[in-house]
Amino acid sequence: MMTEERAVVEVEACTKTFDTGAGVVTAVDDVSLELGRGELVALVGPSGSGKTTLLSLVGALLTQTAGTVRFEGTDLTELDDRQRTALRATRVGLVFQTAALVPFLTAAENVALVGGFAGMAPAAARSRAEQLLTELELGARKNHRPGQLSGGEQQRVAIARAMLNEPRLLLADEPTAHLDRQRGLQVIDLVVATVHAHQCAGMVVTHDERIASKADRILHIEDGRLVS
Amino acid sequence: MNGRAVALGLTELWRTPGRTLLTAGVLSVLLFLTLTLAGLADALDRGSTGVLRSLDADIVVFNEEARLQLLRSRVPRPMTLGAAFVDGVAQVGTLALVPTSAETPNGRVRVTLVGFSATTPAEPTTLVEGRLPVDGEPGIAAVDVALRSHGVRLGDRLVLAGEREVEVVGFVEDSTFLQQPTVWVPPDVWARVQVSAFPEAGFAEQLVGATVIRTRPSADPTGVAVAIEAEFEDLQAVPLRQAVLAIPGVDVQRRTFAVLVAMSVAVLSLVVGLLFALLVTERRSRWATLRALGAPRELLVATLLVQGVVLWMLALVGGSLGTALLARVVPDAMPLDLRLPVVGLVGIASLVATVVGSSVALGRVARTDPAAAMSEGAR
Repeated sequence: MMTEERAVVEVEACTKTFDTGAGVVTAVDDVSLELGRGELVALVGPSGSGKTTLLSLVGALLTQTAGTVRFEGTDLTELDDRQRTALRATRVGLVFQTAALVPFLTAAENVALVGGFAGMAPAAARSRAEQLLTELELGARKNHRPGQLSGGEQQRVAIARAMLNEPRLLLADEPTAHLDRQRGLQVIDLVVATVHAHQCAGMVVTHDERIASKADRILHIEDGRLVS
Repeated sequence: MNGRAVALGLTELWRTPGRTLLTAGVLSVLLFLTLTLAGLADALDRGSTGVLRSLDADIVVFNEEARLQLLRSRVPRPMTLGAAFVDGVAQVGTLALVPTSAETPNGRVRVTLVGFSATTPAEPTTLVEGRLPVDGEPGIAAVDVALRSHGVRLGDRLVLAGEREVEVVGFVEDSTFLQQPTVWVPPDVWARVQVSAFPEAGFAEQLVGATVIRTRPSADPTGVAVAIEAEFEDLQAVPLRQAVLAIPGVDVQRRTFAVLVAMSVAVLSLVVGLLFALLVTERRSRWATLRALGAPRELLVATLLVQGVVLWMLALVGGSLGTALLARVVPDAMPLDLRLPVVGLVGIASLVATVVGSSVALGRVARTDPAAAMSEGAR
């Protein structure tokens, strides 16, 4: 367990249920965990085990049915939609299964876009975006649109986008799912390096143990419960 | 609406030109149809009512048997003079119409001859060139600008009803009657042509067509009309707008075209609704992703709204150009004109239709669940 000072996110006895119409499904069941600065946690489990739901709760995308999620001491249930949106824009970086870039924007524009969500001036966002892309060895590709980039390059752009606002928490939902093994390992190495370099908390969802082995800590989840 | 939404919305439209042009093209066709209907209605209406609309008058007085028809109305001159003494009346004039023909440089044209008393409310206010005839000038006429397309110019001589020659000394615009150009002459010229056209009626110097009245600024035209009817039991006095509506075909024409234009605007709204619904469904994952990344709801809604407004503007320009082009190529027999007020009116109606049509889609965007980005959204 992380110490009180280091925790970015604290999850206590958290449960999330969904009413599917055919019945109530418990996706996350009485989960407690902490995510500390500079630490990447891998959340591993089979399909339908509740990995993505737990990630969504931690990232202020979903509200839990029971329990508490605190982000740097703030109970997320106390925030309204506007505040949760602002929190995601300024303090959470998200990387999805696919890069999910805006197709008509260039790589640099895609990265800079989220700067606007956080209130950053366009010129500053653009400058920071180009800097991040250069750090991720995409400087020469900054003016290319997603359709002109490979899958691995797109995912690196997505990581740059997630890091633009210098988040306190980086969440990645199976970021290597659509990449071949070599590119997948490159991307996960980049996520690990980013978390360590920026000293943010990180959580990566995967069902690939080789990917998970790159993390500082591995949590296994089955049927919505953490088992190790 | 913030600058980021404008920039994002415009960037997408600019960088996806095929889709933008296709969408704007579909909307342009609908606006073209709407504008053509509206332009046709406007031209028909103006072509029928110009004579009365060109007057600076408030009331038109007919004899009761005429049933508000200018061509049939015959008012005894003494009653016209008597109407001037009714409370609230500022000035009276006489107006009389008869259908006839005019020999122009390009051939014979059917026209409506208008006998009017000069410097009264019966005088047209739409003189654009030359001057108007005054009483006691039997060989002088002002004509509607529509006759220019028949080769008529200032100084030309027109032969009315095959026998009476007049010199054109002025042009008035927007003064046609029942789609025919008008020739404005002193009352006695009208009386003589009237006798030529309808010899059985005989020459009646003491009869005028209708009496046209301008009321005092403080007077209520409807009240003054009632007072005139009370004073002269054989007369029917109505406000000018009611006299306009009584022109044959005008009322039913207005109602018919209003329904047609309203229907085409409704179709436009429906099509916009469907287009935006498709657009939003197609981009559902993108909206969810952006919401998950911290985009405020308002930004996404404003972005879509910007795109809707820009597409509407493109469609309005496209539709207007198409209608203007059609107006140039259709034969003169088909009255079609596209005036700026019509474009403005249809533009406003179609903008409202666009906003209403897109409102459901905008509502869906506003309700985008950011968590969807983690499941179906991020594909």
